[in-house]
Amino acid sequence: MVLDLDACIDSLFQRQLLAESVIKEICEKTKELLMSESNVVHIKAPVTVVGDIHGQFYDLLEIFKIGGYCPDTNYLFLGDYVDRGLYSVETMSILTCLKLRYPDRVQLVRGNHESRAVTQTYGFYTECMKKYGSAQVWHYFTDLFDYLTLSVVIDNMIFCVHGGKALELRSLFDSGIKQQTNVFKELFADEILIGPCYSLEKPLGLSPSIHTIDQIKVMDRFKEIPHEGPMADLVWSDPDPGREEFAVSPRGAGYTFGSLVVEKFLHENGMDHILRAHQLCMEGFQVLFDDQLSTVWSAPNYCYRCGNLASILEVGVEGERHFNVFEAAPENERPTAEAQRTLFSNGIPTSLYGNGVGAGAAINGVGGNDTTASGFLNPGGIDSAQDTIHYFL
Amino acid sequence: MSTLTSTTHRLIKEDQTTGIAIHDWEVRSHKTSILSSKEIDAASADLGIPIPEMIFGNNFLSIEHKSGFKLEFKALPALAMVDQSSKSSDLIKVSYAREWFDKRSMANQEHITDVIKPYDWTYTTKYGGTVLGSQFEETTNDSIDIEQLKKPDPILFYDENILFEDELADNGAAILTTKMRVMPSCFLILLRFFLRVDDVLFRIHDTRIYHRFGTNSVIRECSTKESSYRDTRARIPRSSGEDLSLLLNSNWVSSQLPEQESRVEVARLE
Repeated sequence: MVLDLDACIDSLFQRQLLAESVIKEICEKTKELLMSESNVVHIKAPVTVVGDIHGQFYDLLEIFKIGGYCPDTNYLFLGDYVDRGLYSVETMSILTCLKLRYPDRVQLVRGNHESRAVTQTYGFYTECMKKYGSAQVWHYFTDLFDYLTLSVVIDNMIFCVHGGKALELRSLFDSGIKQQTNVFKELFADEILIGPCYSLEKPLGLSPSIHTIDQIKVMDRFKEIPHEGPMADLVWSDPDPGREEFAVSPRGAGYTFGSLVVEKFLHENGMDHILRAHQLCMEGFQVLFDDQLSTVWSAPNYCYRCGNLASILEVGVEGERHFNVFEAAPENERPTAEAQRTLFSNGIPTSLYGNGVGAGAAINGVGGNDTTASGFLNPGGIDSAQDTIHYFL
Repeated sequence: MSTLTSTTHRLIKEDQTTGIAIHDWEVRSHKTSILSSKEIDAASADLGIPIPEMIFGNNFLSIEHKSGFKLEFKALPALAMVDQSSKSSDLIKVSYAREWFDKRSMANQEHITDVIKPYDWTYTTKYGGTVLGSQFEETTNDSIDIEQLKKPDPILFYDENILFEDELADNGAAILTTKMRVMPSCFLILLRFFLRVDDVLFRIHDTRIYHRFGTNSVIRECSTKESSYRDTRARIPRSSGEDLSLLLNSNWVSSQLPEQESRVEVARLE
């Protein structure tokens, strides 16, 4: 049977899941495609850059509505497609199909959530089990994650990364794509090495200067380090508005860096802007360090409760940047409280509410129209002995 | 006890606030957006530490008694109690700190000796609420009536409010939440600080506030639990397979951790 990508894309737009076997095939083909992609993909404007989506599929549909559909609009997605939201499977499915269908018009960068360990905790694994009854789909997608590129350069001017620790030396060399080594050296050989940058509270990370010989040394070592090795890179760090140079992070690993480091990095690589995602912000975007570094965040009302705006960044042919800001999709189905519970913190399995009674009403307060004559929350079908959510101790 | 059985109460439902007025108490839970960048900058400058990534700095849970006693739970006062002493960064390191340090020496980066202003990056806080009016004092005579709370009395008001959450740069999670339930005879609040540092440890600080209507005492019990990451992870049932989401479920983790210390205090209503 021939894979009909257009039909797959259509059905995903209709909110229908793809069959497990189809996902398998799509992931395999996409892996082949990504294998030939460099660690640093060079593209040309115009392009629309999308930040974190986190399984908020309805908001992704909204992005296409606002930003245009493929292939009329070129897209660069900066990672964190999965976890937290309720539709990571749909989100990954459609992005993978679009990448495979329009390889030169859609770029997918790896985010820190595109990892096995993180998705086992933050929802994607659980969602795959729920929607497909087995972990197969999770395996297909997480295997695909290993092949995603780590950075994109737009018109040799704008350097784009996710901003989380996905971009780290180790993953560069674990991925088995030999040619990446050269690209990496070429781009970052001099004083500054950009790396896995991790920081939640702040923008992208850079690493202290490493001389080329040392870099190679380190790279060889990393290659031999087994997968379960720590994220110990020499290269991930947090920006620190309070200083100009590097300093050691209080976490006991990594560095923080200041504005001078960003400036130096851009200067030495002949670029004028760093663009990253990864950092939640109320306004949906943020511009720092004298317009040298910006953040794009594309999950509105993150986790269905942050109340934040989101944006996509439209980069024009002259290098002009325009943040197109938007709110949560009007048709975005707010998940029931119990569905949230299984995905977010303080969760309890939904099975406690097998009869579909109660949790939602109770969470939203017993007020308003739900108020009975007595005003009491009627536990109804909830067995109070089992109801550990409301009857917490 | 007829006053208790014929409880009258009024539910509060405003734009971003829910709550209940019952006996001489007014309970309010306010939920709104995360802080704006400007607010974050101001809070960070004020507190002297980076602010958690998901910061509900304007959310609060408050209970107020007509006598003037008021107890409020908010994120920023909780963060103000995060340790910033010179040793605060030495307590917990990420699991791979040692290896990182060794590699760093090999890469000749030892000239970078500047360490950023120390703070407890796990955001551990012993915050127990902000008190107005009668203060809490340690007691050995009072305790939370667990048996009363185990009764399946109807719940008049239930609320959960997240104050902050941070993924610790992919090294775990630090979450501060409040939960409250109000029954006809009493109420219970649970303020929970939950910490997971991957491959290092779990830690839970619980503060429970209990009041039985008709009495003049408000009881506050603070407890701490801690255990290694490895021991806790080993307790995940085999049936969960590769699903590790239980490690984000503070109720489950709490049930697996041994209790280490607890302290009971009481505030007297006038």
